[in-house]
Amino acid sequence: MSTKNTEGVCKETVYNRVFMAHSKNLFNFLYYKYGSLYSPEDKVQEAFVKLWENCSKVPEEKAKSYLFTIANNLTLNAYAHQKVVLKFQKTKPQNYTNESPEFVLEEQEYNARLQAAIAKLSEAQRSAFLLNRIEGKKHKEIAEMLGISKKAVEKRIYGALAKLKKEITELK
Amino acid sequence: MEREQLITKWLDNELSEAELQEFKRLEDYEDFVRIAETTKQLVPPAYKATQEYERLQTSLDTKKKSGIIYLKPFLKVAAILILFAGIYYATTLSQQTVEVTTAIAQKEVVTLPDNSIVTINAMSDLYYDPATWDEFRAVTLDGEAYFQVAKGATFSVETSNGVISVLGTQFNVRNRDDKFEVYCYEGSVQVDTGEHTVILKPGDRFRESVKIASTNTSTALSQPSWIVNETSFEKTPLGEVLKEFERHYNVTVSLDKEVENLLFTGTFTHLDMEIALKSISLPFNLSHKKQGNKVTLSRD
Repeated sequence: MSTKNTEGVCKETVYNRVFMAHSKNLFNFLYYKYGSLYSPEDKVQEAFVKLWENCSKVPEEKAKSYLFTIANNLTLNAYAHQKVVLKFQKTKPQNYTNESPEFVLEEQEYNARLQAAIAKLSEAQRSAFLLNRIEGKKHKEIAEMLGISKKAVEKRIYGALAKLKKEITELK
Repeated sequence: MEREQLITKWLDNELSEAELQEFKRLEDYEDFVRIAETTKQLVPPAYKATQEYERLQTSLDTKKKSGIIYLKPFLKVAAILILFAGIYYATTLSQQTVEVTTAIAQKEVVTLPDNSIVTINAMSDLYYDPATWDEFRAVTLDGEAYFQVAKGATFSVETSNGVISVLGTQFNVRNRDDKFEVYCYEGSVQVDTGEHTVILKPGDRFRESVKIASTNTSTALSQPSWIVNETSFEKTPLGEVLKEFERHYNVTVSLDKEVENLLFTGTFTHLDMEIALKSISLPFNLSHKKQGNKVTLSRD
């Protein structure tokens, strides 16, 4: 399907294809890592603008890592290790018809505790962990996206899981 | 298999049947599964790719119209000429970033490219870059200003003590020396210092001076008093009150050390120095003496 594109991504159809393929992933990644404070949707736009300005120099296969690097750096410029604000949408609907009110309440409390604990993870741990758990990405994929080794990804995700477990069970 | 290795393989969905059984026998198995299941149901905010693409096209069209992208070869030649012109402009006109500075007793009203209005109090500095305004609204403030922000993309005010971000609202930021204070008049305002993040609602004030941060709520006012040429204080050390006084009157004030930390609640006018001095000194039974442009306050 993909023709080897040595002219970069300057053709409208190619550029559009790249946008549709990567914009949402990039948005989710920035959101997982930095939360909502630094307008991840605007950073996605800025990264794609930079891509357009350098369209002849970026081949299609390299576009994804180019975009991720630029967007990450753009956010880092505005961000200074401040507290992350994450507000996930209402979680997917549950089948609660047979459950007691106490059970539902406990589930909601657990959910809230988990979200708070996730927001407290380091950006590195959180982004790797959520890409793996929510997006279902393999360790190898995440390593490619973030430009780090597979071993580093494994350490981050395992570290995140261990930290979350500690946070949640401590509060019981 | 070693525990960490087993868990890592489970996270990557790479366990064989036998390994899966081993995993299930782990003591914390149920905890891990619950964390995984619950996390899986969290959904990030919706990203509407088609709409975002249209928005992107609009900004690119703007750039294309100014010919930046299609004129690249031509620009290489023009760039050399522009470089010299640029040096001249940078040293004389400085058009890139807009900087507004107020002097003693001066107030200035600035309208930003999106029609947000900033009223800047005396002895303050405001910087912003009009070029990036469409994508990114950010100003840098040193001093005090009252913001009335038009609705739009996140608007942020960067000060040496923290970053304030809003979506369209009215608030006052006071960043002087070591004192940092934000008061929300309308809408909601988020304040981030290195150590705290708070969200203010109308009537809330966030104050941080030398490491003590507090948020308190009072009856909502509609705008800061300095806009109508008065400054009001609530339990503020006298030393600070007089520092503010010096910003509105061209004098230096000296004060006995023992009264520096007395707390003042009240107002002084920016329009009459005598009356202003009386408002500050009378509550504490202090007398004031003026010699040229030096004022001394002391206990009788």
